[in-house]
Amino acid sequence: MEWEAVIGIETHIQLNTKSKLFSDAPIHRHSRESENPLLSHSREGGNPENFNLDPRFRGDDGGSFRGDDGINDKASPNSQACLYDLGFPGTLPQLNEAAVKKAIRFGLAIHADIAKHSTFARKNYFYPDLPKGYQITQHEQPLIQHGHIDILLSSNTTKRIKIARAHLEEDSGKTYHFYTPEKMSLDFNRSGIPLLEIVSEPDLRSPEEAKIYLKTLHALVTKLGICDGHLEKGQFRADINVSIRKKGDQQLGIRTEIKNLNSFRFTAQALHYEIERQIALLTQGKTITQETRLYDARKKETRTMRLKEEQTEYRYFPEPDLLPLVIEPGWIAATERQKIALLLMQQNASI
Amino acid sequence: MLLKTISGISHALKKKEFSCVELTKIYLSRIKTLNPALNAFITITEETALNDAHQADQRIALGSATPLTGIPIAHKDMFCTQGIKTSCGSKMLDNFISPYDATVVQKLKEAGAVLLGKTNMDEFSMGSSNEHSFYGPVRNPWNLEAVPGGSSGGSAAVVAARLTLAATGADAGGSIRQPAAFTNVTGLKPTYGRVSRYGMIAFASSFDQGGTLTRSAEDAAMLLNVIAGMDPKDSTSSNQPVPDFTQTLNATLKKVRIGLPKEFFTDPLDPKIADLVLTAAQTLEKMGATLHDLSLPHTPLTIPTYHILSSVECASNLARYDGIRFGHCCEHPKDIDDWYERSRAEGFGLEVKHRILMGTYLSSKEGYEDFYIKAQKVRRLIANDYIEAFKKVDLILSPTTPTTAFKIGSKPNRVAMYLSDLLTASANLAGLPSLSIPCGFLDNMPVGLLLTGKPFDEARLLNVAHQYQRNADWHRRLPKEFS
Repeated sequence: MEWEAVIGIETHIQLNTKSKLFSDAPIHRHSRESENPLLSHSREGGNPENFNLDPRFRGDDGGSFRGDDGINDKASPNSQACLYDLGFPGTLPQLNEAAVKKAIRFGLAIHADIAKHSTFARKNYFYPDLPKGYQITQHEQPLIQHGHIDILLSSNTTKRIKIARAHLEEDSGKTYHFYTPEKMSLDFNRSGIPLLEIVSEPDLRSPEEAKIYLKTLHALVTKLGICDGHLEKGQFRADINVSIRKKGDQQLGIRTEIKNLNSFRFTAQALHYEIERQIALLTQGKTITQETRLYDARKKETRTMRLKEEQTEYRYFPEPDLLPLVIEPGWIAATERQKIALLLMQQNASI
Repeated sequence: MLLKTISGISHALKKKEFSCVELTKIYLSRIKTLNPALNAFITITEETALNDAHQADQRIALGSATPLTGIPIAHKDMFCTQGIKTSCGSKMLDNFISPYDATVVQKLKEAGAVLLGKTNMDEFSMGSSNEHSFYGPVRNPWNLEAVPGGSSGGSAAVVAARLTLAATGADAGGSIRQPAAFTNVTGLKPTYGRVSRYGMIAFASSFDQGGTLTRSAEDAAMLLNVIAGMDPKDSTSSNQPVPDFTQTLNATLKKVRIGLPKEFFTDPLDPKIADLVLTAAQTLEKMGATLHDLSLPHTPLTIPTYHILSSVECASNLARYDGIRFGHCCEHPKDIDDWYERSRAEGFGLEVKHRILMGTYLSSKEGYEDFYIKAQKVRRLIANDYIEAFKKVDLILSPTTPTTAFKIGSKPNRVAMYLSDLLTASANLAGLPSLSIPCGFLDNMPVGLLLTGKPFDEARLLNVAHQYQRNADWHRRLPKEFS
C-alpha cells in the first residue's frame, strides 16, 4: 500500500522591530550582520544547519530548558523587560506600529488579504515564563489571511503552498533549569518580542517539500527585512503538523504535532521519523494518538510531549485592553507595495 | 473648614489664610483620631503628605499653583503609587510597593495635590460592601454598624467623615456611586475611556473606570479637569476633547430633558427611596428641567450580564498573581503546580476565588458560547436602550441603590449582595458617565440620586448636579460623630 504524508507548518518568526510588540522595552541585537538583512543576508541565513538547535537535548552540559532557543542576545537576563513585560499590576499594552507594518509587508509579499479590521485576543494559560498568565494574540480575526508562497521543488517544478493566516502575537519569556530540576531561572528579555505566526494549509506532502517551504519562507522574510532569521537564536521556529493517509484518500488522518523545530535539517529528519512511525503503527493495525511530540536530534526520534487530553484549554476571549486594529485605506503606502514588488523580483531571481 | 469645598480651600490657601502644611496637619490629626473607628485607610502617608504640602506652599508662594495645589486627597488602594504600598485590598499584594505611578496619580501629583493615604477597598474591587478586604471591613460614618458600600468604600467613608477633601475611586459596576450614595458623598464615574486606566489595578478591563468621590459636584468637576484625557499608555482612553468642566456648572436647566426609566423605579427598590428621588426630580423641574417617563427594557438583564462578562475578564486579569515576580508566594513549594496553587489559595480571599472560578468556567468551551457570547449580545442591547433613550432626553435620573446602607454581615447571600449594583451596573455595560449625589435621608441613612448621561457628556451631569446642590443642602450634612 502506498502512503501519503499531509503536512502543515506553523512558523513563528520574530519581527526585527526595535522595541517589543506592546511595550517600549528595547530588543537587543548584538549581531551587526543582522542590522541590514537586505544587503548582507546569504540565502541560507548564515548556514543555520551547523547549529545544534535544541539545547534540551544537549544532555549534561548544563543547559536544559523549556525554551526553544539559545541565549538570544548578550543583554544580561531581565535587563530588557519593562514593567509591562513583567506583567506588573496596572500596566497596559500599547501596540507597536512598526510590528504591524512588518506584518503587512509580509502579507503583501504573499498576496494575502490584509484585514481592514482585525482583533486581539487573550490566550490564557499558566506558566512561569508567561508573566500575565495570558498571551495576547490574534484569534478570530487575524491581520493576514489567504495568501500563498510558491516553492521550487527539486524536480524544477513550482508548487503553490497556501497560507491560511498570519497573525501578530507576543513571545514568552524563557525558563531555564541551570542547576537542578527543582530550581528554575527566568529571563523575561524575550517576553513581548513581536512574533508573526504564519500558518500554512496542509499542502505539503513530504519532508523534502517541508524543508524547501521553510527555506523559501526563511529567504522571503529575511529578504523582506522583517526578520533577522537567526534560527539558532530562535528567531525562526516551526511547529509541524503531520498525518498520513492512503494515497488517493480525501479524508485526513489523525495528526501529530512536532513542536519547536528550528533547523531545516532536523525538520526533515523529524518528519522522516514521524512519518515512518505513523506508517508502522497503521500497518500493525494500531491507531495514531493525537498528541504533541518533540524531536530529539541526538537520538533522531520524536517522542510524546503531551497528549491531546492533557492540553490546556486556552479560553480565548477578546482582549479588552486593546481596540480592534483598523487599517485605514491608504495606510499601506504605494511605495511599500513597490518596494515589496522589487524585493520579490530579486527573490525570484535568486531561486 | 470641614464644610469647605475644594474651591473654598484653594482660595483660602492662595490668600494665605492657612498654609498647606497646616491644612495637611489638621487632616492627618483627624485621620489619627477618627480613622480607627472607620478602618478606611490601609496606608497613611504622613511623611510624603507633609513633604507634598511643603512643596505646595512653595508653589503657592511662587505663584505657580493650580486649583488643586495643596488640596489633601486620598487614593483608592488600587491606584499604583510609586514607592507606596499598593495592596488592592488583598493579602496577595500586601507586600507590593509599586515601582510607578498610575496616570491619575501622576496627574494629581503634578497639579500639586497632597496625598494623605491609600484607602481600604473590597479585594481587587470585587464587592459592594467593603467586607471583602484583607484589611477588614470599613465602617459607615453615618452608622458604624453599617457598611459604607463598595468597592470604593474606604474612599467614600473618608470623604464623608471629612478625613480628606476628596478621594479617587474606580467603578466597574457601581463601585464609586453605590458607596457615594451610602455615605452622602458625590461620586462620579466618567465615560469609559475618559480617564486613563494605566496604573489602575484591573478587575474587569472593559468596565473599570477611574473617578472621584467628593463633597460636591463642583469638586468633582475640578478633579475631572485634571484626571481626564487621552493617555497613550491606555489604548482604550479616548481622544475626545476635555472641556473645562467648571465652566458649565452654572448653565441653565431650562429645557434640559430628564428621563425617568420605569425599570429603575420598581421592586426591589424601597418605595421611600423612590419618593425622595422623585422629590429631587421635582426640584430640578422647578428649576426649568422637563421630566419624561421612559423605558430601558433590558434593565432586568443587567446583573447577570455584568457578572458573566466581568468575571471572565477578572479571571484572566488576576492570572498574573503567581507569586513569582511580586506579591504573595507560599513557603517551600514542592513543584511549580504546588507553587501556583498554594500561593493563589493563600493570597486571594473567598469572593475573589469565587469570581475567578466563575470566570474560568464562563470562558471555557462549555461556558463561552452559552454565556459569554450571549452576555456580549445583551450588553449591546442594553447600550442600544440608552442610545434610543438619549434621542428623547439629555440625561437619565434614577435612585442610585435599591436600599440604604445595610448592616455589616447582613448579606451572606452572594446574589443579594450583587443586587445592590442593580441600578448602577448598566451605565458600565453601556460605558456611560454616571454620577451619584445625596438627595435625602431615610431613617438617618443617606439616599443617593443617580444621573446618567450621554457619552462624554460629564459636563451636563455636573451642571445638573451642581444646580441641584445650590438648591439643596443634603451634601453638606455631616455624620454626628465626625462633625
